[in-house]
Amino acid sequence: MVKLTIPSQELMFSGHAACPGCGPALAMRLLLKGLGPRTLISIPACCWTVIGTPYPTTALRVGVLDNPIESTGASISGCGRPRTPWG
Amino acid sequence: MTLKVMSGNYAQSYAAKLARVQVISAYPITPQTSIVEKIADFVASGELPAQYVKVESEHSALQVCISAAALGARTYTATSSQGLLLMHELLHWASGMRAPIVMGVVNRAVAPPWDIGADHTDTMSQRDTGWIQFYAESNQEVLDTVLEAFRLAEHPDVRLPVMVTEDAFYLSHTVEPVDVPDASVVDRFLPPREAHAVLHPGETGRLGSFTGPDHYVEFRRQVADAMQRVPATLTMVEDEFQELVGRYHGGAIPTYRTDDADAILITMGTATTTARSVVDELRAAGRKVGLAKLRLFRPFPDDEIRQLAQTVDRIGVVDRSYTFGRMGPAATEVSAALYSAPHRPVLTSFLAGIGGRDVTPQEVRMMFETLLSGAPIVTHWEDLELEVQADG
Repeated sequence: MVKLTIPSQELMFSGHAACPGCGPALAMRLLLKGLGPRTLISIPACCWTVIGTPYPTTALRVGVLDNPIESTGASISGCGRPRTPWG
Repeated sequence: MTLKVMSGNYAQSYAAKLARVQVISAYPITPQTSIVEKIADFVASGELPAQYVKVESEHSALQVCISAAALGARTYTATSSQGLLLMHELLHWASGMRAPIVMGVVNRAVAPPWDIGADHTDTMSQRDTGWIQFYAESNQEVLDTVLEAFRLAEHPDVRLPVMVTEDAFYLSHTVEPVDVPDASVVDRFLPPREAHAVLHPGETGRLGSFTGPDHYVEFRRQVADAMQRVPATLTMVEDEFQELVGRYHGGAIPTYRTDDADAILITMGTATTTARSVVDELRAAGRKVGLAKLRLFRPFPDDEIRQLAQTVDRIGVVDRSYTFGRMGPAATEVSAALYSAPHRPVLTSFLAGIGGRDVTPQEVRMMFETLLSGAPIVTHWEDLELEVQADG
């Protein structure tokens, strides 16, 4: 039998701007525990634009790239590791 | 240094290759297609070790470039007309996120009615998006300006995206001898991009973040200040380009035979070449006329325009597009620059070459005659062949 564990490392801090009882806030916390610190999130315009807390603060201990709603897929396509022509 | 015969579109492609762009994303549109086809060849053959991201629209193409730039890549895209209009929302994102993207734009008419001829309506209607805008007159100028554009876009004093435009077909599909600088020379002029304000894997950071009135104004002001620093930075970039490559394109608004001129025409793009030949012809006949080529449209060269206006009583501005309910967009800008000038010449807005119609020497001659005759015409539609009827 496999025992499932949740990593103890927190990549989302308290002080975020989600409403009490917000499901997406809990989802993000657990998602980041699974994905780990080398994560880049591309966020379409939505509650999470605000939940992550406004500049100059952030509740997320990863890289976050905000973008318009309809270009989120393209944003992720642009986040591939670029090749370096200079070697 | 190699002399090659190439179209304005290939001049864009060769410049992108020489700039060693790392990520290219584009969607084809006539008459831009051969730019990105040639770049795809370079990538497929291994000549350009870059990521070429195929997308389903221009909107996505620009988003790919913005996100790749946010991770530190040097990016390039190209489009035209409807494609540029579809990018509109993301043009604001690129400048606001200070993404130093360089984009080739082939100036083409906007529908309806459909027309793929040269027309500046596409880029003129994007003038408030925070992009630097250059208009090129020759294929050589296209190649050189794209290289200068990367230096300017990535300069710590600027960090803004740049459009380098060329007239549809007159440049995009017309071949001319173009001097292609050696890669080693370009490498000295344009070293790898320094990663400022980018996200690093494993580090906390946020780009394009929410802020609100407390900081929003300061972010906008930073873009405004960066724009203000473009003229001085351009001078430095062009000086270095001249030193290393040996060519100079004359700054924001190079002038031709304007000393002692009674009338000056301001042109953009390929109409300049025709107008220059007419200036020579009229000068030979003893008429005192001159020419200024508006090469940099954003930021607008106010100081140079005011300086030009010091010694001349009549200025005509030739626009290849029209702002409905106003006049030619470049004329509007010149007019605004002149308001605070110590000497304000009479200004005429000429509309010519709309939708790809030829700007002929005969038309340019008529413009100079109109200016010299002193008739105060505000807006003059050149070469209207059909009777335009008001419907109602």
